[in-house]
Amino acid sequence: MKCKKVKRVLSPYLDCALSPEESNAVKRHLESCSACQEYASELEAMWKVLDVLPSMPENPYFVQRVLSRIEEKESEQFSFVHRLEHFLVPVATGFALLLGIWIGYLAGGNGERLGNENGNSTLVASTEYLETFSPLPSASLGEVYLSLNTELGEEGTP
Amino acid sequence: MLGEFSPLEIDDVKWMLRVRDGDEEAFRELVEKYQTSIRNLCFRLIGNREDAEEVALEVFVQLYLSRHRYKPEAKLSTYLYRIAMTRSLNRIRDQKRKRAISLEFLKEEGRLDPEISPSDLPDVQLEQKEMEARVRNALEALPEKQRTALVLRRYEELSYEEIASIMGISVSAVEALLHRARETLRKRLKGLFS
Repeated sequence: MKCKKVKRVLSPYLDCALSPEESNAVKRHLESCSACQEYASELEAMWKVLDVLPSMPENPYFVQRVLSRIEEKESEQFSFVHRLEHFLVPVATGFALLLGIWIGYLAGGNGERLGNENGNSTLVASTEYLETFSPLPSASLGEVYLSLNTELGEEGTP
Repeated sequence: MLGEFSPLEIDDVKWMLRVRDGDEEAFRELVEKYQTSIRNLCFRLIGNREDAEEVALEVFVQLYLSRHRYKPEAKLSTYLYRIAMTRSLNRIRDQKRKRAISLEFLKEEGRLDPEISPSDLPDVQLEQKEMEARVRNALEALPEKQRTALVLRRYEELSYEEIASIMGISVSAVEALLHRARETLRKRLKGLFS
């Protein structure tokens, strides 16, 4: 094994991450090459220097803090859904109301459009369903309305 | 599926399945078990205790809130380390952005103090603090991936395969990252060991 290759695999060698064959080859090279030996020693010494960084001090309240934070997050999520409900209910109600008005408008527009001499037209309610009320009592409002409408309809028909 | 896990990892899977089913005690046990590793990993990546503590906390909160989606496909430790790594690196980027903004502000205001030199520190603390600061600076100056691989190897003592799995890269890429990180640190910290 040559110095260049040894330097490249020194990291896994020091971490014992090489195959036994490769590891033996590096070991043999280091025994015979002082430059590589020095390089390996420096890497090992540097690795030890990293010990100087302290660890995080123990925190006996960590678990409790995690649980409290989860509680906060869950209540935030709940209040978001709650707020959404508060917003959605009036919007849905308003929408249903508008839909009802629109459907009512469509159904109510089912009348007959009658023309007059001036070319204007007048919308009158359909007489189609008034038969439902038959027989109407004579001189009742229904009968008068029906007869008026029938006459108008006949006059308006070309 | 559980055949791929070691007995200790199978314990983790069992605990996590209990957590998924809403067992708070099991979750508490998992936090107890992993808090030291996760807090230290965050600290060594971020370099600031308060931020590390906050990020570690978020890691476990995320674990709990996503418990319903848990599938015992990867080791729990790998999953936790991955969340910790991602969140820590995001925090570092946020810090850099904030630092850049505040430096810009101080420069504009003309209130930028000259850097504190090590000689300004009290003599007693000097050696240890200076060493610590130099190591920390050297680590922080490493590119993110090199730093992550190095911290996972040096302080968490994870295998190359585990590091590769956490970082989502190949084992040979981990080897290359560690090689470069070691080489850079050897040069930068030479004064501390030669």
